[in-house]
Parts: sequence; C-alpha cells; structure tokens
Amino acid sequence: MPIELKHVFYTYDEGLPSSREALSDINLLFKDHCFTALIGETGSGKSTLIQHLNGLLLPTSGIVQVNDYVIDMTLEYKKKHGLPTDVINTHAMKKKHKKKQKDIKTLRKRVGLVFQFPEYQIFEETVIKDVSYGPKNFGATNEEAIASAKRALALVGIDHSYYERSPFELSGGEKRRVAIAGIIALNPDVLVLDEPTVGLDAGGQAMLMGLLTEISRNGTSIILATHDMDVVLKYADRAIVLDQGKVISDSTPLDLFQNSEFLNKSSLEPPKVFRFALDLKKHGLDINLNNIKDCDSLADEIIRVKSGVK
Amino acid sequence: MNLTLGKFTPFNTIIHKLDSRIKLIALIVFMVSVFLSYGTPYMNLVIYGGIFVILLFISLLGRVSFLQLFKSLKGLWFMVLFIIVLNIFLPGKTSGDVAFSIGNVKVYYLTIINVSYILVRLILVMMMTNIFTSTTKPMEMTSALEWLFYPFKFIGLPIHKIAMAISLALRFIPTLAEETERIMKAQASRGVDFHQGKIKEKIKAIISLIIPLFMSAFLTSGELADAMEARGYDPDSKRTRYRAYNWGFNDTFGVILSAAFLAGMIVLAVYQYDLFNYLGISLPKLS
Repeated sequence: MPIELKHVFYTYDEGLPSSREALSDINLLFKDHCFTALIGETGSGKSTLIQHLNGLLLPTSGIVQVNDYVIDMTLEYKKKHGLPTDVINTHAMKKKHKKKQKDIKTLRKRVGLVFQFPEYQIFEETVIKDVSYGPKNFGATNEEAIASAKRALALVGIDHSYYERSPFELSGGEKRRVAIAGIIALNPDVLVLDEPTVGLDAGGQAMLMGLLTEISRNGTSIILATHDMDVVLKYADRAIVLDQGKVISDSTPLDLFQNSEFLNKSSLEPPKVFRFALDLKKHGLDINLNNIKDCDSLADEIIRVKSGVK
Repeated sequence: MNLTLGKFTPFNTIIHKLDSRIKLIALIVFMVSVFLSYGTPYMNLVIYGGIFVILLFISLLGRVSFLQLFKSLKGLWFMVLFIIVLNIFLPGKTSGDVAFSIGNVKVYYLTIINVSYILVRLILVMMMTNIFTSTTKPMEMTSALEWLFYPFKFIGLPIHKIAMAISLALRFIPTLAEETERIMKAQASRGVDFHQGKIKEKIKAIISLIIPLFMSAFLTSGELADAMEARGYDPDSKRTRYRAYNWGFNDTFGVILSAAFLAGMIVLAVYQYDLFNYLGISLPKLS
C-alpha cells in the first residue's frame, strides 16, 4: 500500500507566539514492500512526520495519500489564510471531510503505528487481552481477535505460558514486544515504528530487528524512525534524512554512508563497520560495499576477496 | 486534548510584567467586590457592568484570549442548568411577585434575579481567573501564594512544603497533558475512538488512557523524588530565591489602583448608595 506525501507542512501551536514549524514542504513516496529508515536528530520532525501517516496529525497544508485514501488540507489552509480558492470545490471538500473523519479508523488499521516506548500503552490485566484489544476495536469478534493476538505474539516470540500473565510483571524487553504485538495483531499493510530499539539491550535489539525483517519479508512495508546507523545499514533499503522539518537526503543507505561530504555537513556518523570497510577499500582491498551489512558480512566479504583474488 | 483553564500565553504585555503578588491581590479584591451586595438589583447590575468593563480592559491589555474563556464557559452549562433548576424548585423566599408559572411551580422575580446574580458572578470570576492564569507563569503564581501565606508560618503551617507541592503539581500539568496526548494517540492507533461510540466503549476508551497514565505518573513521581534527593533537597532547610522581584512603577500603580478599587467598592456596599435615586430616576421595584 503506497503512501504519498505532497507539499506537507505542519505547524505546532499555529497562531500562538510559541508556534513552530515542524514539517516544511515534505514530498515523499513510500512504495510497497519497502524497508525505509527515517533518520534525523531529536526535533528534526521524524515523529511528526510519522503521525501524519495514519492520520493522527493532519497536515497544516498539503496532501497525504495512503493508497486510495486522501487527506487534502490545501483547501483548508487556503481558506484559513484568505487565499483564493475554488468555490465549487469547497462544498465537495466539506462532504468529503465528513466522510474522512469516519474512515480514519480504517486508515489506522492499515497503517499500524508503534510509538516510542510503546510499553506505556499496555493496560489490560493479561497479555492476551491487551494484544487482542486492537483487533476488537476494529470490529473483530472475540475469537478472531484472540487468534490474531496469538499469531502476533508467536511472531514476537512470546509463548503461550505468558498469555494469562499480567503484562505489568514482564521485563522491559518483553513488555515492548507485547506492545508491538498489539499493533502487529491488527495485521497492517504498513508498519511504522518510532525508535523501536531505544532502551533495549543488544539481544533485545537484535531480536526486534530480526522480527521486523521477518514481517517485511511477509510483504508488510516497514517505516522506521531511528538514530541507530547500524540498524539503517543492516536492514533498510532506503534512508531518508530529515533536518529541521525538511528532507535533506533520500537515497539508499549505501549511497548515504559513502557521501562523506554530506555526512560531514549533517553531523551524521556512518557505522564503524562501514567506515572500516571504506578504509579497507581505500587502501586497496577490492571489496563490494553492497555486501557490507554488519561485522559478519564484512568478514565474509574479506574472506571472499582474499580467497577469490589470490 | 485541550486544557483550557490555566494556560499561560507567552506574551510580553504590561499585565504579564506586573508583579505576580499584585495580580494575586487584585484577583482577590475583584472576587470580594463581585460577591458584595450593593443594594438594589439595578445598582448591582451597574456595578457588575462596571467590573465587566474593567476586566475587559485588562483582558485587552494582557492580550487574553476570549476564545479560551468561552471554551471554559461552555463546560459550565450543566452547572448553570443545575443552579436554575435548584433555585426554581427551592426558592429561598416564597414571597414577592410571581413572574410566571410552569404547571404548579411558581417562578418568582426574586428567584430569577438570584439565579442571574450567580451566573453573572460565575462568569466574572472565571474571567478574572482566566486573566490571572494566562498572564502569570505557574512558578510566579506559586511564589505569590507562598508570599501571601507567609503569616501562617508563625502558627506552624509548613508554607514552604505546601508551596513546593503546589509548584510541582503545576509544573507537571503540561508533562501530564503531553503524556495524555501521547497515550491517546497510541491508543488511537489501536483503534480506540475517544470522541464517538457508545457509553460502554467510551468507558473502555477512558480506562485505556487512565491506567497507563497512572503508571507513568507514579513512575515519574518516584524518579522526581530521587532526583530531588540526589540534588540535596531538604524540605526543612531554609531556602533562598533564584529570581528577585523588581518592584517597578507599574507595580506601585497596580497596588494603589487595587486598594482604591477595593475601598470604593466597600464604601458603595456599606452605604448602599442608590445611583438612580440620586439621579432622580425611578425604576419599578423588583422585590
């Protein structure tokens, strides 16, 4: 399910002295089956952008199109600021707007959004109840909801001995996985995650990213906001860099990390593995940077080159 | 989530710059004058009208949003209804002229007047507090309260602890509001609808908000206590103030104005001057 953003602007506290433009003229297209990483410093607009993808925030101006579902705020913006509008369109827009409010729930089912520290959204007495809460909200029967909850929990590696336990007595990593299962249980076409690995130990991070890879292999698009360049290099097939509400780079991770001029300017740190690989290449080892994902693949590549050439 | 009451608007007007203690005193002065009685209903009407105009003027000076006021008034309709019903069915005095009757229930002029007094006072008080809260930072508010309560220290009231508790509570309103919004959004992503739905669904929606909110509030308060202790906070020790008050001309002016206003109102209330009588205008007696 493709998601397209056209000239999206978003301003917090519009009209107040504390107003702040969080997004400014964002034009992006997220294609099907993508694994996209959104990179940017705190306050660069990542989280704001993410909330536009399932209609939690409506743009101040601009168009968000998710498959055939359109949120068009250009007209509202023009009216608000007294810009000339097409009068005939206004009425149709109003009608559409009403319908939109109703439909926004279906949008949220199709674009699953996992917030930062999602473990705070847990509230039910048992794990299985909490995970099946989402599907039930979207109209599934109790049996269906529990079935999809079980599927989601199996996917995140929570077995049935946990089902009847209170989610509040689980460890931090387990809680996070239960919370993510709560979104996966909705069976979304696009899964959007805001810094899912923050606060997890190395094992938990690897497990979570493995899970996301598996979900993405099943045909779900993944959009991931992250600080972690290792994650970007290893998993993403596209890296979008945001800075002060603007897209300043949109390429594959490989191109991004090779563009040293850009990296210097934007204070992004390429992963250590990748820098090491670049140095190796610079000093004459003919490795294929496309194959470098992490330490293991670098080692494999070195072995391949060494044994293949000589 | 819209927290209308007590939202500070960061402008830099003369009202914003006024010493918070004076604003607090002026607030009390205005409240007292609204609840005084000035004789005949006509006289009260004139005085309330006067206070309304003054408040309007102050609102304009402080760039206070009227929208916010209307929003907070909108939430009061149930209370208004309650007051009206209670006053109609339980009139204090069953004397005077009957204005009209609904079935067997007689509605007296006096009742109507009483109800309108309550409503007018309510609106005026909300206007005042709205001005105070939108032009005074929460921290300034607390220090003003602490200053005002200072005399109670001598009868053993832990003023500082109370002030600290209030300022912490105020400090965490925005944090909690932010947290609420975050959890609401997270639950909305799970298909919770906070605006529509049946009562049962709504209750469930609220539960899905309240439980996580409490969890995080308890967590935060524990962390805050640890952080305060780590920085050597001792509730019993003597404290100094970070920001010194700069007493300016405007502040003196504000004090004089408030004092004069209060004095005038008290004089009006005590002597019950009837302006209309004085001007020779005769109006129909109402009670």
